Amino acid sequence: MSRLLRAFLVPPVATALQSRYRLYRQNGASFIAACLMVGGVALGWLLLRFESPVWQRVRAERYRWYPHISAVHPRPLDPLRYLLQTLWLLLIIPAGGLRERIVISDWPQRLRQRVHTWLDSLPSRLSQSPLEQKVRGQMRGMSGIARRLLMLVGGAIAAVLVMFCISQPFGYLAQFVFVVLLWSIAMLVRRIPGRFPSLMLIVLSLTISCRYLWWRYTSTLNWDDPVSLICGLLLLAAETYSWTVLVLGYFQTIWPLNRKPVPMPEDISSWPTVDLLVPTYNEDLSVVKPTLYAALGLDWPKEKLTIWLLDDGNRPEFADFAREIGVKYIARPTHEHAKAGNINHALKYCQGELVAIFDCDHVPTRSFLQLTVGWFFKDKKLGMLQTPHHFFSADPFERNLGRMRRTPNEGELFYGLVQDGNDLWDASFFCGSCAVLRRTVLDEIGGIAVETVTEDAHTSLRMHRHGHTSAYIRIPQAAGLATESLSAHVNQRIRWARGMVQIFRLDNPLLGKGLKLAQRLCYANAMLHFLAGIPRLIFLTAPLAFLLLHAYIIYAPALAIALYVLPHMIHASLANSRVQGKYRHSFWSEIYETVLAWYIARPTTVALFNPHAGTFNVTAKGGKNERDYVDWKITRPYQILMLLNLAGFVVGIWRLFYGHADEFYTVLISLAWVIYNMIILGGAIAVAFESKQVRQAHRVEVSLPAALARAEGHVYVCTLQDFSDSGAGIETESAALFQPGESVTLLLRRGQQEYAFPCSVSRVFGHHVGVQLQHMSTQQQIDFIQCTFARADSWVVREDSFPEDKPLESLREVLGLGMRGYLRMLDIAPHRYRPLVARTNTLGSWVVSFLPRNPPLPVQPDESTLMMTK
Amino acid sequence: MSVIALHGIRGGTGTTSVTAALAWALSLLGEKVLAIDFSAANLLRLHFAMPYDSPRGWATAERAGSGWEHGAMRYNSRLDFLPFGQLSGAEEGSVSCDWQNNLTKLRNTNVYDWILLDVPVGEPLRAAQAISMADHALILLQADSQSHVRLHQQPLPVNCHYLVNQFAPVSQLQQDILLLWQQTLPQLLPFTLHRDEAMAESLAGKQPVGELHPQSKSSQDIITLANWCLINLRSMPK
Repeated sequence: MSRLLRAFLVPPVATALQSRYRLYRQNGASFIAACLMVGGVALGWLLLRFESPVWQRVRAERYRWYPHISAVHPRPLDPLRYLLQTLWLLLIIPAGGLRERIVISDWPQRLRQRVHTWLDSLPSRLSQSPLEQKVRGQMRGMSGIARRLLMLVGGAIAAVLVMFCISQPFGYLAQFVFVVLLWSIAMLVRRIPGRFPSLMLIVLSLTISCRYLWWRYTSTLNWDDPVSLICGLLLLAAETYSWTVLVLGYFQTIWPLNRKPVPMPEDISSWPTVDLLVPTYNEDLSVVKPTLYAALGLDWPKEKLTIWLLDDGNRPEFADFAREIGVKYIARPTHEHAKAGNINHALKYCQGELVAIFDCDHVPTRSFLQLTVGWFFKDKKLGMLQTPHHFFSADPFERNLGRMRRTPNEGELFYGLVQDGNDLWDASFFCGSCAVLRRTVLDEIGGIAVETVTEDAHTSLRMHRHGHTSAYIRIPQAAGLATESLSAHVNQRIRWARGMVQIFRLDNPLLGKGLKLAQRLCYANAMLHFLAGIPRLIFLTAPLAFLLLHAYIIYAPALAIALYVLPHMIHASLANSRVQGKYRHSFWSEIYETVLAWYIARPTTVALFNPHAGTFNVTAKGGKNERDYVDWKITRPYQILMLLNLAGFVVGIWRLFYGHADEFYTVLISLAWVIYNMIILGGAIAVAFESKQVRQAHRVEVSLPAALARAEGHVYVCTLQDFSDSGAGIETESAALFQPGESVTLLLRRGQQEYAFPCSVSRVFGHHVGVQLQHMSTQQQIDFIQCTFARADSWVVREDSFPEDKPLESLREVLGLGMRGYLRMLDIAPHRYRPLVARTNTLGSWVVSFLPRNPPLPVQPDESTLMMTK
Repeated sequence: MSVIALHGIRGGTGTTSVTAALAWALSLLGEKVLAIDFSAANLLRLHFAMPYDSPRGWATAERAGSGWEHGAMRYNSRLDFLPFGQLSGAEEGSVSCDWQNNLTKLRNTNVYDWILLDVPVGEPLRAAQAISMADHALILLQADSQSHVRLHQQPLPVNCHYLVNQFAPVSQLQQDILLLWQQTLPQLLPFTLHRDEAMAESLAGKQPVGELHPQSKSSQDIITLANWCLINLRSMPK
């Protein structure tokens, strides 16, 4: 070999090549790889002029530009990797770095920046322009009849245009142009801040979606083949359902009311008497204690507030505790109708004008009553005022997927947006806790409703029927524990789903008197939302009908499907991202709904046909996951679905090669759908990997000034970083002075007062000190809750602290979640499958090694962040 | 330039330590400060690491005839202090100094932003004189029953501010008295100085508490006091 080399090359070059070869072989490269690499290097020097300054710069930073390719251990296909990475760097690298040499001018970016700034300035320009005043003046100048006529004519023209837009059949080119135009309008409009662009996006989405549904109804059903017809009709029903929910959802959230609290009257003697009820059944006393302590500290005249502990479990320690701290205790002899019956029984003893209801783990802040009761003065017909349920512990999705505080949690959408939107139409409904009701109204409707398992929504439906109003203030004034595990979460949702469908059957909001049209639609949407089980299952299995059964569920060519379906999904995603983006990031609804779909499908269907069947089950609260475990039972249906989809995928690949030639693109689309389904199912399964919950007491993160006093008299400045009902985490510069086991006093302020709490140091690490509270008197317990949980601003600060919704980013995250679900399943596969799993892993990492990597550049603002920082 | 007189409602409320600490905190905030000790016990200088045996002070200098300003000492570029000096009992009575004139001279030089007067409790004449010359008076009290009684029976300067020192949140009595004063004493400052060993150690360590124990609660309280003075007690230059 060396002789061959010396025959063709100069000795220094030959020696260099030989030493390189030896280096490769020493580091474990195979013969082929080493030869190829040496050959490649030689060719490179020959043809690409590696000694030129440009190449030298690249070679100097070789590790930065090619981080995934080893310099000393080449693999056979490394040249391909180098090529892919180089192409990637040339095309994708952001401004700065290599690109500066290639770009001639940045006028596209500058132009885009100018357009964005102009779009941003539109709202202020519009509000400043005199056009609005002129139009208003004209309108006022016209008589009532003329105005109505104008509205009618305008409405008629709009209706005609809408009919044309929706029902006019287009050829492919026309549809393409139409869709691209609307998409461009949407992309322009979504940059403009304000409410009206949201309305515009909703209108565009409605246009496209109505058009899509019309097309589906009129031209995509195959009447010839019974199997296709049935599958097609099922899918069409599911699509109609989601269209209905989409439209009603837009209607519900189109203009969130954002109601502000009303100040109480100056004269305290006019303030009403309030009964605060805390029903409990089987929860631990430690869960209920903070709630009662916080209730004792509410800012309300003591003689006008009565606190009742309603114990359906007849436990003596609860009775003792109630006596010890001075709240009233009621244990009823019979236990029918669960929580509703409990409250109704207690109402016989309550005399107050208002009733406030709190779940046993929802800790109210001190300002709860002062913020809410003001509205009862302002609106005489107000029957119920609801505030959000905020959770200070992570729900199963956040905990198992690690999304705490990075994406809004599942309840944010409802309490942040939907109820607020309902409030505009006077349709916010009671959620069972953190609410104040008027006693006279409760008596009028016969107490809390007991006929269904979601007694709360039913109660407020009755209130609305009797002509009373409801209100919603979106400032969180209480916080509680989220469900502990995925199975508890699913059980809770099953109960809600069953209850809502029972109300739909027994007391249908669309029928019956007493409700306004808007209220009917809002309630109907709330109930329809829970019927999503079967449609979601249909969506998860629809492509299999084509791949496995060869049934044409959508009887249209692939191109038509793409032209109609894609815009429908894109516009819905754009509009939803704009309207809901702060409360739920795009595509997360898929995960939430998929996890619940199987479980709520059966109860809701049963309840739809027989509302009285089924048993009531209580949500378990306050348990502790001792270790990591996988809730396989919960995910079994989804594993089955996943296997079905996998079968469909395999058959689809077969069809690609051996099926009809003209079905090629349809099979491709079905395969894409199947892959999407599988990824969503992977994400749903990932939620079942329950992560360990380390502590019994949930910690709330905060940042408050505090002081720590050691026994010998020194007092040190510190910051309270987190707290629970039994301990706290503190950051201080003087942490090194504290010893574990030492007794210290924690000083916290609330308003003008300062409180001292006896603690013992549990651990010290770095600048952090963990303390456990020692035994405290009742007053001290109340004070501690007042300084921590029950601060009026405890939950408010965290409201708008989520990063903004970026749909593509979100899609990538959800897809990544799905992939991770599969990887975790592979991790815990039984031994039989280990070799297969190992081989799949190797194959996977081999494929992934070809993917180009982004080099770690210094922090450059890339375009997406530039857009966000307005 | 503002002149603040610090005076305890009774002896032992910690006025001298607080004066030294406040002078240090103000100097840390960039102000030029002069702290003057009006008490014959001559303890303020010991917070600034002055040797015990040194007899230097304004009264000594005045007695020696060289003028009161020669008693001054410099602690750092922004903080000067004027000890009383060491005089015997008889000599002390014979010192007469027109402080009103001196303060006017100091104002005219425009060198200092703040002048802090440590006013003694046991010498009522000198105390009254010092308080009358000051722009503002800060009365230090402890949240105990004795101070509460004295508030009602002691002649107190008009328009003075009250500051609670040595506050121990563990004591229920102190909490209750503080709550009572928050409702009934309008010129009470909205914060307290905590009982902290750090303040006690400042005289032992011969340094202002902010320098000796910068991480202590006392230091933070004194910085709060200094900022409060900057916001509320700064008088505009004429």
